[in-house]
This record gives sequence, C-alpha cells and structure tokens, in this order.
Amino acid sequence: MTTRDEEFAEYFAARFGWARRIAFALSGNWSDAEEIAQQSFVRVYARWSKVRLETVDAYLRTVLTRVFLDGRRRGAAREQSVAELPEQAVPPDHSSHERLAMQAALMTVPPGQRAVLVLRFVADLSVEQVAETLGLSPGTVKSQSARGLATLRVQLEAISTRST
Amino acid sequence: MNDDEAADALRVIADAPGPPATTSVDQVIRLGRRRVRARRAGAVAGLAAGVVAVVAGIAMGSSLLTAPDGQDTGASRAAPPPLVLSGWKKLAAATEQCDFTATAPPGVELALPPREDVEATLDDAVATATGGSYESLAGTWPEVNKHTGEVGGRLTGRVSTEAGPVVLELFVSTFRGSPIEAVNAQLASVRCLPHYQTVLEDGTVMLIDAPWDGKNIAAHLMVFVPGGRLLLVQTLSGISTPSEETGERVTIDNAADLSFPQLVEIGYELGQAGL
Repeated sequence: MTTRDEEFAEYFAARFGWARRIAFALSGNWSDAEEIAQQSFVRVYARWSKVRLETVDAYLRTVLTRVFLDGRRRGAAREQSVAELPEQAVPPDHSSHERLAMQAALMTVPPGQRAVLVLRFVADLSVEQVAETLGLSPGTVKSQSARGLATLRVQLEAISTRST
Repeated sequence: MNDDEAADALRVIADAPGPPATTSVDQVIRLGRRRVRARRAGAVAGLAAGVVAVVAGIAMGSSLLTAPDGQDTGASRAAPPPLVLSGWKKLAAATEQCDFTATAPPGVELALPPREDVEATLDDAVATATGGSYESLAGTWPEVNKHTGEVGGRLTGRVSTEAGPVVLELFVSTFRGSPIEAVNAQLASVRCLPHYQTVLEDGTVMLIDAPWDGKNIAAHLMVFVPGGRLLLVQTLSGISTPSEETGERVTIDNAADLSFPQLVEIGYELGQAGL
C-alpha cells in the first residue's frame, strides 16, 4: 500500500461510520446508506491527492449529499414518501419508537430540505457550513430549514395521533 | 412541538443502531482507482472527439493574445491586436461603448459543485491545454450575487507554463433557457466588441472575445452548457492577493499568456466535465 493509500485508509477508518450514519439519516435505509457512503469515499479517493487535509471533511460532506441528491433525482420515480413506521431491525424500546417515528417523518420531507435538516441538526453543522456544503446561500439554508421543520412537525403530529 | 424540539428530536437519528458496515477500504481503493482511470480515459476520448475539431478551426498564427507587460497591474495598457478566428462565426459589435456593469438575469438553480472538484477539473484542463498546472490563489465559494441572489463560485489562480505564469480566473454560474437564447441575451446587453461563437455537437455554445477595459481583463471565454451551467474563463493581466494557503501577499504579472486554442481547450474541458 502506498503512503497515499495508507493516509486514505486512516481517514476511511475514522470517518466511514460517520458518513454511513449521515447517509442513513438522509435515505432512511441502511442498504442505500452503505452505497451512498461507499460511492462518496470512492470519489474522495479519486481526488485524494488534490484534497487538502484541512478541507477533506467538508469535501466528504459535499460529495455525500450530492451522491444522495443525484441518486434521488435519478430515482425520483422510485422515491417513496414513507409515512408509516418502517420495519424495525432492533427490539423496540421507548427510544427506538421515537427514533423510528422521527425517521419516518423525515422521509416525508423533500430531499433537498431533508439534506439541509440532516446536515444542520444530525451532523450538527452551522448554517454557513451547510450553505457551503450544498452550494446555497445562508438565507436559502434558513428558509429550507424552516420549511423542512414545518413539514416534519406536521408529520410527527400525524404519526403521534395515529399511534394513540 | 416547536422548532427547537423538532431539531433536538432529529439528533436521535444519529444514534440509530444499524447492521455492521460491509464496505472495506480495499474495495473503495480499487473502485477509486478505476474511477481515476475512467476519468483520464474520458478526458482523452472527449478531446479526440471534440476539442481537436474546434481548436483546429482556429487560426493559430493570428490568434495569440498579447500578454500586457509592465509591473503595474492596474495601469491602462494598449489594447491587444484584433481577434481573428477562422472556423468560428464572427458576430460584429453592435455598439462602440462597453457596459461592463450590465447585470445578467438570474439563471436556473443548479447546485454549485464542490470547489475541490472544480479545482481538480481545472488542473486537468490546464494540463491538457498547456502542459502546465493550475493552483488557486484566491476564491469565493460560494459567491452570492447581491442583486439576484444567484449562487456562483469564483476561483483565481496561477497557471504555470514553461513561458511563465498566467493568471486565470474561472467563474461558475448558471443561465436560463437554451445556450443559444442565453448567448443572444448576453450579446444584446454587452455587444461592444466582436465576438466569435461556435456550437458543439452536444449543443454547448462557446463565445469568446477580448473585452478590453484598459486594465485587467485580457480575454474571456464563455461556455454555455445545455442544462444551464455557465462557465466564464478569463485571463487577467495580473493579480495581487493574500495567498489562501500562507496568508502572504502574492503578486503576479503575467509573464506569458494563453493562446486562444489553449483558452478554448480549457473551456471545452470544463464544459464537458459536467460541473
């Protein structure tokens, strides 16, 4: 393995899990999340010699959200707005119910707004960082975030009403 | 549930338990290498299919851009020789007075590509066109148009060639309508100089001119890619800016300049890269 590959392998070991979790929050599906994260790291590898170490995280975030959004555009016909709770992969407890309800509600938010919400609140980025990641103005990030949260709130209330 | 509560609740998704990852780093490296090879092969194929035909049509001898000499990058200079291009359609100037303050209407909404991707593509394009390399010195990414709210990106950097450095600026933006419609709109607002235009097989329109303002801009090329991506590539007579990397001021006066074929080739490569 070359030095370049060793450096990349270290970065992969440190960040692949994080990327997969963010991809899961975006896609709501572990299989898609694995594919999105993998594709993103393949792209990062292809640019590894050009990416500065101090900006590689920002680059990974941008690539990851683009892979997700491009995939949504290509597969728009296959896009499913899941308003029902998805199948549970782990034994249910209070927190998993909450999480599954949130995940189901999030999947009803349009992909662009969903990307803003996930970067802002799941990845915990600032408005400016989200703007840079998505190539949007900070004002657009704020408005998309507000719209996405509004949709999310309505869906969560609907799910809550159905389950009581 | 208010916005803050919704945001707090969203954070629980990050803790979701999932199946173990199945992707290995070896797999990623293998796929990454394949991607690099495919990109290089694509660049060569694209060059053979398109840019050679475009560039071959340009009168090589008479189309060199004269590099302004002197040390003061802000000083007025003599205008470069008139452009003569064969193989491209010449569009005569409609007015004598240039209005460089004209604001183009906002384009379609396209996500701005990652800066690193654009820099890497620009480096590849420069290497293909000149045999040299590109290094960014300054950039605004994203750059939001105060008037239209449109989001673009601007990079200014040094092209290192055997003849010396050339300052190159790339502005990534968007347009609305078809490439031909956008070119016509552009010419309607800034038609003070002869332009040369060519239309590629995929509908991309390239427009080149020398908008000589007596100071900075030596020549520029606009590439209108179907779908709304607009790329403006221009050479500047010099630059003085703090380096993004070191913070130290870097001053460059062009020691050389790019020929039209080189500028066209860079624009072509960028246009075909799907930015």
